[in-house]
Amino acid sequence: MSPKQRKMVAGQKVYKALQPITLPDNEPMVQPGETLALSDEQATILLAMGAVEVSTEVEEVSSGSNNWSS
Amino acid sequence: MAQTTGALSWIDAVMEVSTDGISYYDVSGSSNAVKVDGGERAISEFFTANGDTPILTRGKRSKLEVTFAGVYTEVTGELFDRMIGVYEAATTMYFRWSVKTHGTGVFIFSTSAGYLTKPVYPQGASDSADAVQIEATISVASIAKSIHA
Repeated sequence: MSPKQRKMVAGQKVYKALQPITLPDNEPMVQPGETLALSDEQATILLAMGAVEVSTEVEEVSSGSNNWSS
Repeated sequence: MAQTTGALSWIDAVMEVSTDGISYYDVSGSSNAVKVDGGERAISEFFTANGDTPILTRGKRSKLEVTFAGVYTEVTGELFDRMIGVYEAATTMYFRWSVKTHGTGVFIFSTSAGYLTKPVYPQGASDSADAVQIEATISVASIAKSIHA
């Protein structure tokens, strides 16, 4: 299953990349316009940097930070 | 404006290589420097009979050469081991580095796919006590800045 087909777990928050985002675990880089799931701590920093914005999408997201169901 | 407090040195840099642009291997333990050359944008000038200064027009950017410098070792997975096969087979390689240790918000610089252009073989002289050093240079079309999640 490719990263973009993975679905988020319950309670996961989804964000839209405004800048290219490198994920920690050897996943493909997330390009601007793509969505990714982030922890609250990650989101706080990346929102402040203007690297992401809150997305309304709830699935079909790129992976992020070990928050995926198997 | 107040003087910056955000200046960085290279002491916490991270240098990584990849053969597919997805799975990167940390070679920071056998590498110590990154050099970037090329990438100049072509600028042309044209003078008219009337003017004293040129009209400037812009062109494209040239290719970049990125060099990872490090120490020669014969340890599997370190810089020389990861470079020699790629150089001899002329297969693609990706470089990625950051000035700070990886963490959320850190800037990551990643090359597009490139080819090693210079031999990576060790060189030295018997009158030197220096560690044997190597350099791995790839030619690439672009370098992308991204932000670590």
